[in-house]
Amino acid sequence: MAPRGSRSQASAGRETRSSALNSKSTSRGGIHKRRAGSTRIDTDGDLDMGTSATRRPRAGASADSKMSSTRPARGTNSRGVSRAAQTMIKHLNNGENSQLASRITGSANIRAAKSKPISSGPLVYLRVHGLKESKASKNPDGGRADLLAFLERKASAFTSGRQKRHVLIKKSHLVGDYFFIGTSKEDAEELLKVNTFVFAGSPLEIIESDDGLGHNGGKATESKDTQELRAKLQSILSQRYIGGNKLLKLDMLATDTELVSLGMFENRDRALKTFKGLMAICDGLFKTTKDKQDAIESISLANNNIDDVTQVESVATTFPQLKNLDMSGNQISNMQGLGRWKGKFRELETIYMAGNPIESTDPNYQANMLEWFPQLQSINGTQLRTPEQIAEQKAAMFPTPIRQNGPDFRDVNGIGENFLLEFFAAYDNDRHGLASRLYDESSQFSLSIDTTGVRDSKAPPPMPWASYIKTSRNLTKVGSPNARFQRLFKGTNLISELWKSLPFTKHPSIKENMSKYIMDCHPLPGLVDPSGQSSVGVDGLIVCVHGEFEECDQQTQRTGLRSFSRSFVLGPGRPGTVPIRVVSDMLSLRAYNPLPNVFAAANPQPTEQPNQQQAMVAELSKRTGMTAQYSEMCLTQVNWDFEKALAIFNEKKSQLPAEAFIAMPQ
Amino acid sequence: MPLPDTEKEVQASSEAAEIFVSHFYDALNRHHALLPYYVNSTTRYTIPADISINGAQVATPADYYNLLEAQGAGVHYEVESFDTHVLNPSFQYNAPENIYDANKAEKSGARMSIVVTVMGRVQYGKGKEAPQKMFNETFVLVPNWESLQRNPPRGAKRWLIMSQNFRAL
Repeated sequence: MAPRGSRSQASAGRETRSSALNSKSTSRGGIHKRRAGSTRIDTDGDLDMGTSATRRPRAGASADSKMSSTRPARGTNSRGVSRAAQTMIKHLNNGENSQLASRITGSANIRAAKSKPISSGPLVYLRVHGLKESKASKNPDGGRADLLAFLERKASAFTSGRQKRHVLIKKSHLVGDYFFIGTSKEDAEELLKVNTFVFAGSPLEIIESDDGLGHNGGKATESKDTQELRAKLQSILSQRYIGGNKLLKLDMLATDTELVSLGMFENRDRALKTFKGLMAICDGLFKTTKDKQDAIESISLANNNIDDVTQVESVATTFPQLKNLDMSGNQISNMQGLGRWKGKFRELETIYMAGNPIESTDPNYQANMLEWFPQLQSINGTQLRTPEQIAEQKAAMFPTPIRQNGPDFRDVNGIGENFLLEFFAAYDNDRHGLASRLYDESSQFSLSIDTTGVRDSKAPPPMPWASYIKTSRNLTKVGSPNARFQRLFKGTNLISELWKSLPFTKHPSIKENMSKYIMDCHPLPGLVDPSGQSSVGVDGLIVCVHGEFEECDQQTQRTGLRSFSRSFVLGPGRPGTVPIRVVSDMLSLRAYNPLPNVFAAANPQPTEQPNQQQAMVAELSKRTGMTAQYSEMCLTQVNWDFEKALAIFNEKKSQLPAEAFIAMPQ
Repeated sequence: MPLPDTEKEVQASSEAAEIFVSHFYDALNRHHALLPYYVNSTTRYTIPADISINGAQVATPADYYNLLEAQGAGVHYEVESFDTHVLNPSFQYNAPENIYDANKAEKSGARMSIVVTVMGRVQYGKGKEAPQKMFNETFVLVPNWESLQRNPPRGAKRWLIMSQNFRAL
């Protein structure tokens, strides 16, 4: 029965571990971020940084290995102005033409799939200049279709020497003054020959692009127009920023003469893009999230005719830490209209909704908003709850831990107290002496480590585990019978030898730093009688100590704090030797965390020594037959006046429940 | 009196501890009755278990259960480490005369008392924001004499809690 049973148990232990890991990984929330990204896809299918990441696997499925391998590196540096610029370019220059681009891209893909034998291998990207200067740029589509046809036709002509082949352009994208095209390697060679050809009155410049389809939006490819536009928008933004109030006023955008004169609000589509562009520029202005958070705490979106926040969703993604938001004078008529902001603005404290239809259509909207925005305190200038109430509500959502009490130190003749006073000093300074004095050949020691314990995230990184890991007898991890046997140290010699190899420690002085320890102990029957006289066994003491020590690793010379728990079982010593011996010593180690202050929690009057109180509890319990719990309750009521406690006991004796009394042994 | 050898001790004690730890914390997390885990559940033992929770002595397993319930819903205990030592390889306290095949039981380690120390985390509530604390708990487990009789009751636990020392840290 034995080996099989033990192994299956071990695997069960592993399973719980791996499930713990799983639950951790899901709580990281990486997946959520992705999802948020994909919802940002442009309505009209524009290619931009944000969306290209999600589109690429589909669009570039024809083995676009070059792109995918270079993309992540670009992604990392695209946070700043360049991203803003690129988004602006997309919104301002591409406009309605982008649909054509995606159509061409799409159809090219179908064609590419058909002619797969030729076109396997990564796409090569070329940059074409000259479209803007050509007469064709006056065409409704900016001349793209004509240019594509021109390039394919001319390039195909070069292949006539051999069997004539049709040159295919698989992807195309217009960025500023440049037209980027993607094609197979062979076709690219032909297309490069079209360099300097004149297209619609304008000489073409065709070179290899080191920037893919120009998504990177480097300033090199940004047209003058775009740069100017960006500068203009930036200046508009800076006029609308009130630094003293950390307020960005984006109200009444449609009546802003400058924006209108730029044609930014010609139609609904344009207006939406302008807004996104403005957000992108805002985002680009700050180097870090912290800068952004510090600079802008409030935003006004008042009087913008917004009927669904989908139109301005980017405010929430650009300013997730926003504190105050003015939405007054818009057209929000129900909670659905705010739906896209649900779960966002986790730190929003104030919102103005006055002048929205929702005020009359949904009488519960304020309650709903308090639910949606966890830190929201005030709506329309009326404070609906205080930060304290929010904290209370949050705490009420969680269970209340069992309260802490002072030490439960039910010592016998001071044995436990004297042992502990001696033990930690000796363990720090003379481990060998300690092992030979209080341990004998049947004493056992083992240590176990918990490397994944709860830790204060603000605390310094935990001390390394290397010095302990080889001897840790954490049975959730150590499964083999042999290892379990090897890591149990029995007898003075083995214990002393192991202790020699463990890092140096310095425990706080018990007398001076009582609050750095929690010590509980109580008598325990049925231990082996070392004299062999009692077959029923002898009484001993079980002592559980929790605390911290300073550790110094001999090998790395690193010092730092570590938290520990140590459980001892003490029994009488062999006749003629020391009075007590350590039967069992189990050391549990974890990353440092300060202990809860059980003395404060237990003791409304810090002047009283807990030991004295314990003594009073024990005495009252002895005299009255009440349990320790009831004795303590009684003493607390009378402010630890022993005589009063006795008096009150005699007075109320008859009203006490049976459970108040210690069950008499049969 | 054939005592178990050291290898047998290690194997039997780890096995006992493993079974106990997985079942006991499962019972806590599922709000199952706790009495069956304690010596209080059998008349064979004349003393109740010594239960010390966060420094307060708790009279009965039912009281401990009430304390746990009073915390509110969603408290979850997760064991991250445990270890065990044999205290007495031939525990005799309150032992009955009629242990079935006593020699074999003793040799296989069935009548040992063991000490089990557990380290883990308590999560107070569900979700990422729920507060978490470490806990350390040390038990002394003793044989359930009823399970060592000739026809043990169905589902009787092999080991019972005689001493429990819990601290949230």
